Amino acid sequence: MLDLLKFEYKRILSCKAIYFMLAFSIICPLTVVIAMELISTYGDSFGLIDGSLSATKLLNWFVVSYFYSNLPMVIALFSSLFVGRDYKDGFIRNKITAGHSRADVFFSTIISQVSVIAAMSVVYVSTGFLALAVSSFDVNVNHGEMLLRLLTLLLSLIGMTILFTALALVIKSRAAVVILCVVFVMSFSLAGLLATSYSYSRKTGEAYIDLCEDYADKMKDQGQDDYDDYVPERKDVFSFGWYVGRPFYLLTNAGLGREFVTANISSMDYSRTTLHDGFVNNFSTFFTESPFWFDDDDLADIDGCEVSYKSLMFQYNIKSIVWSAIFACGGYAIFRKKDLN
Amino acid sequence: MEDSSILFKATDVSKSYGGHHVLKNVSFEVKKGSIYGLVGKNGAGKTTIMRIMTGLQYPTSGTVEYGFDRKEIGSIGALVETPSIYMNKTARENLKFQFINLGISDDSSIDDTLKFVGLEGTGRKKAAKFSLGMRQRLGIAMAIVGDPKMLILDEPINGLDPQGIIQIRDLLIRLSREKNITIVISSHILSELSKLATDFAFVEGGRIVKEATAEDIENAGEKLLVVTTDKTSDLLVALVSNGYNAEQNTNPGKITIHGSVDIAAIASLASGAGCAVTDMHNVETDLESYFVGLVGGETHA
Repeated sequence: MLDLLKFEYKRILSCKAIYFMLAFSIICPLTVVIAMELISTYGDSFGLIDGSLSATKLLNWFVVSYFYSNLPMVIALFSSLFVGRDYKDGFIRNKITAGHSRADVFFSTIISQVSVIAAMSVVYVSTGFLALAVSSFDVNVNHGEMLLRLLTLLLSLIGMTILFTALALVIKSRAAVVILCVVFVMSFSLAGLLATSYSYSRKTGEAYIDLCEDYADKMKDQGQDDYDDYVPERKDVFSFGWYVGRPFYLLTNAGLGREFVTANISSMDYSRTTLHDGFVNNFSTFFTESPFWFDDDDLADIDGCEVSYKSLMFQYNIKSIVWSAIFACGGYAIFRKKDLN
Repeated sequence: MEDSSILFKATDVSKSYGGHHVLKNVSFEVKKGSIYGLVGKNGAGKTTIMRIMTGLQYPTSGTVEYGFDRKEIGSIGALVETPSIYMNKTARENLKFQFINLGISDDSSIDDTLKFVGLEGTGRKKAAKFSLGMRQRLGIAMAIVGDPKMLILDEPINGLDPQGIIQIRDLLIRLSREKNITIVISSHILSELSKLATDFAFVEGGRIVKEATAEDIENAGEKLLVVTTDKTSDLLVALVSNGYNAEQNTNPGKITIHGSVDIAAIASLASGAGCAVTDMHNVETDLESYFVGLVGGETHA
């Protein structure tokens, strides 16, 4: 195993793509910070910065959301092309012929890829924070909570890396692996929309309908009858989309990026360590015509509507670990029995 | 393995892909130090046998045994179908990776290995720019790193020029003689294979139809003497009248004499009959004719 790891790291270091990736991990967050610095300096007059948003909040959001939305595509391309070459050029064959066990070949590749992606992620985030530190803004990590959130995102990226690497190890066609990985990343954000649109539980949905009914009743008492028409119907709240989206949300990490962003991950106010779940956010998105207007306190009364970051991150971390194990074990189960040409 | 002279043993090995049976109850043994030639037409199952020997594929049924610790890294070197090399690396870099792959920290013998296969002058040229023959040589170089106990080579002289073929043939003979490496080899060029192999297995339709030693093949058929002369009819009459089993060869000016004959006696007879003999040579049963006799069809395996 050690020889194989040595082999993998030597090969990674001799690969030009790794230096492009390193450059990307430095340039991308730097560009974001520089752009924001310019906007904060010159953008006021164009109304580019919302005065209610602190620059730190905004930049933290940028670092995290860019980190999570950019790196997966880079990882998909790197892992599929890099491991795909081993398959194409026959070095996987060479390792097995030499007498290495399939377990060693498979897991040494996974370990090396994961460690490289983890290192790149650390470079990405560190560059972002370093740039923030020397900019006119500041870094507010909210007593380390921000770093824990980044760790959650990193765990999710590691899950993806294991998936891409496992695919590259079990599918012979390099082109097919690249296409699969890229399509996966592209569809993942779309899937995130489905997952977060229907993230609410039955209990939460019922409670929301009750709240709307109460609101309509209250308005009726005040002589405004037409609010009844806007009370959402159960068949709309628990539609086919919900029956698909809810389990998808519960079982996968697809909602992670969107949930962190829509829930204002940049909200680093010490007083606010909870976020509203997807139901609330998406309700306000999809039913903007609704005359109901609830503030945070009203929504907090809905059972299950508020989820603490801690709890949410814990759920995502568990899901990342479970999926990583599934991808690794599933990939190995196929690779172990696979006929190699 | 019970018999210490056996390096590899396959017993009733079968392999199927879906419903297609590629190998059917194949059994054979490879003796230590031998050069074992696999002979068969395209699709006969030679490459599948080699893949199973290297561990790249598993048999659907049957067993394979090794006369050495298969888990020992570097015990098998192989070139199966296409060379396993990084196309974007030089020959030296590829070998360096193979040394790491095999856990050999001292890579000072890279130059010797490159020289051994005639790639010492390739410098910074990437493998992608190599000719087919150069890639084959690099593939062989990769396979012989670390002095494996068994070398498995599938069509190693494919794409090589005549000089390259001779070099690889000499190289393999040296590996076998000097380093006592057991070699399993397949080739379409049966004349080359016959110059190398000490043992043969004839593969047809996923089965080994015959195993034979080089000696068996040599002794299998009759010997012929082909005589080139200016007066074929006169010589033919003289030969037949003296009890020789001779006939007119299909080529003009040549006579074929069946059986083992004394060349000096033939020369003397020809001289007596007033025939000028310009050439006389023995023709023995070769691998090609043996193979064709066994499985039929074209002479090219």
